[in-house]
Amino acid sequence: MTTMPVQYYLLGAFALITIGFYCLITRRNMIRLVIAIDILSNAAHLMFIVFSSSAKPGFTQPLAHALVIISMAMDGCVVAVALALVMLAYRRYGTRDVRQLRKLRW
Amino acid sequence: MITTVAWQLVLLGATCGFALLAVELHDILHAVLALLAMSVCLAGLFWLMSAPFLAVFQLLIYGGAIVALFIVTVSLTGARARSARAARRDPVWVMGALTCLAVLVLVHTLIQLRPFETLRYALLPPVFAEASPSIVTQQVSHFLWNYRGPDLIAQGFVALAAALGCIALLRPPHRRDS
Repeated sequence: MTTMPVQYYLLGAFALITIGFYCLITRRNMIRLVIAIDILSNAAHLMFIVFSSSAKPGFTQPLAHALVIISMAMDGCVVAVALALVMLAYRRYGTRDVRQLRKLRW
Repeated sequence: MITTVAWQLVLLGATCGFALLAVELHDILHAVLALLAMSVCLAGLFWLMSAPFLAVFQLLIYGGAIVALFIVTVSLTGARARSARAARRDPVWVMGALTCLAVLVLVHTLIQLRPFETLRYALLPPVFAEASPSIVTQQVSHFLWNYRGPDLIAQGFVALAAALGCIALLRPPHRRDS
């Protein structure tokens, strides 16, 4: 089976990481920040699977399957709690702008 | 005939493109839908990289649960109210229908391109046709708890902690607190 070279996959994963960090740095909407965390975790999963399948093309290590499945479940929990925090902050302060939450400072 | 490498390139480019759209689109609901499209493209990539279980989990968790959570949050916080009024006359449903059609064609092509052995079980005669439902449950739980026991327990604790955290965060305010 012919597969794409690993370099292309790494390029795509680094592009996803760059997009995620760009969103984390530049955006102020808290929902957008959670989307950025989601993109970053997706990039990490892609990179993990690329490395685990690079030894033998067409075969991915079962351990990598299990680890990425665990990471997906944990990321789902992280996103759920983060969105609950967003809703709580909106309910309490009436804003989704993360820079307006200065009352949370010491 | 498009080769596997070309499909992988197309899906990788589409994944990056939809991720960029999820960051850059003004309407937050459209951004969430772009995130959904990114998840579908990434699931296709996992499928072509011989990781079909990951593709299924990607669609279930990221394409299903997380996107549903995002949509609920967007609707409850009113994040889309202003832009939705402005874009009410946009033919979004045409784009949605075309996207659904494209996803269907993509899934059909991927399955035709890489028919995994796992999928052939669906074509076999049912193994447990004669068995009672309790035996089927016993077989499935035997597989799950004997081969993936520790990580399932850890995932269960994490999911429980997340559910309790969400309940605690979203509880109605107490009178003394308000």
